[in-house]
Amino acid sequence: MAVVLTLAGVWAALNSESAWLFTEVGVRRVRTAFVSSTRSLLESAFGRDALNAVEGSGAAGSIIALGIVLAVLLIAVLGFRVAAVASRRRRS
Amino acid sequence: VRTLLLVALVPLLSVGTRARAQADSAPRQADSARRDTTRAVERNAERQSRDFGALSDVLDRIRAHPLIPRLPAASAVTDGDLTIEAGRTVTGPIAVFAGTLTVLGRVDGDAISLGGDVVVAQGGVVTGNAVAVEGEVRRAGGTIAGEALTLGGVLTSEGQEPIVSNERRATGSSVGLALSWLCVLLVIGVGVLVFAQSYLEGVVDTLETRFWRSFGMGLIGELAAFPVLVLMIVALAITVIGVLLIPFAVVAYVLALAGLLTLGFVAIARLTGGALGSDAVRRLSARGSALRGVVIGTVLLLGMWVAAAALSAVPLLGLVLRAVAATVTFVAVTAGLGATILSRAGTRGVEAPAAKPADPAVWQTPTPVTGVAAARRPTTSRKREPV
Repeated sequence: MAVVLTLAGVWAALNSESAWLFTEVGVRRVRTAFVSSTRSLLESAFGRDALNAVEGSGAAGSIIALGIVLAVLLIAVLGFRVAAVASRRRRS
Repeated sequence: VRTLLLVALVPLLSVGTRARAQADSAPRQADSARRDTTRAVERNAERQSRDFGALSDVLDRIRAHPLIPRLPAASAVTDGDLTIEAGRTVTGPIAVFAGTLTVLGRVDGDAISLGGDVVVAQGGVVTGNAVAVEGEVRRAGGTIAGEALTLGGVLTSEGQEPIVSNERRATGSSVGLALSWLCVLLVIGVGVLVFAQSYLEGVVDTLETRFWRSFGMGLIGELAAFPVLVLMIVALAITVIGVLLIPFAVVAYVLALAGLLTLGFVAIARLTGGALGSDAVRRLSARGSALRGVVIGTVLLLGMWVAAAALSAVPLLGLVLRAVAATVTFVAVTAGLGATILSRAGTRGVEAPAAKPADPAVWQTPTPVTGVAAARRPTTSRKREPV
């Protein structure tokens, strides 16, 4: 048992570096994929021109754009809520 | 003792191996970076030599194209990148070869890049057309009074018909795409009404009575969709048979999610359309009313995308309309998905309101027909308090 455990330990030690490298590469790739997929998602939703305009306008422009999107989001949610109430009244 | 010694040796070996690997990996990374740089330099050199070598031919070929505006003489074409600085005005046509033409100031006429991009940055103005051959026209906050035209296949492939794309064509294809989605969703909506109206009504009921909860559940569902898929794959990977089932499970999961999203979207379209209109709608049958709601709601929700696509060439309005359409669609899909989850795809209706307490005088109703058991007077189990 001790010999088996020791051999396993030696094997793990010899291979730990490659596992470490694999993990590092994997994390880097996942991060890159996440960033690029988020960007492409935003690009397909809002358009490349919108993203370029926001990027070109700096931090203030980004904050204003985010504020506008959140305001529209809130209005849309409230609008659908009003529609839900109206639809319920109409059907009852 | 021997075992202990061996176990103690393991960390030492690990440290040694790691140091060796780091020493190995440093030159590897340097090699890789060097290879990347060399490749990029080679690519640039190849592109430049190819483009520069064929400048007069390329100009002749491009001049022959009916969509290309007037080009300057070959001697007036700038090699490589050119930037028109802010506050500066140049008279066009202005052209660069194998480089990027960046406009920060004003170009009175056409701005052309042969084998590169045209970038009209914030504050930049091109009063004519912006043309990029084998490149891209980027409107980064600037104004192009004419057309933004992109040509492909002129410099790269001999004898082939150039691929031309301009904003008008791009707008047309965007409008076509939005209209196609509108038609597809209308067909799906009618299909849901015909084959699964009861499920649809279940989802609509949930949206009407528990809207906020539906929206919250939709947000949770969207955030959890990917982790649940990963968990499912991990759970299947534990067993040998499960490993074989992973591809089918992934496809089934994606299809189920798409089905839930579609049912939710049709439900919220039905709700939106059902909320609009005059009281004359009440005279319609249940199915007619539902059909009217689905059609009006779908046209409203997708109409925003059609309008955004049609006005995409208008600098600010197009962006704002598209942002509004995307945000409203996100809310609609989220609330619809949440209602679909809450109602178990419409199979679980909204709980009926609690029944009213029985009228205490009901027991006094006379029994009209012989043989029917008379009502009993309700008795209370509460004990009378002693006087």
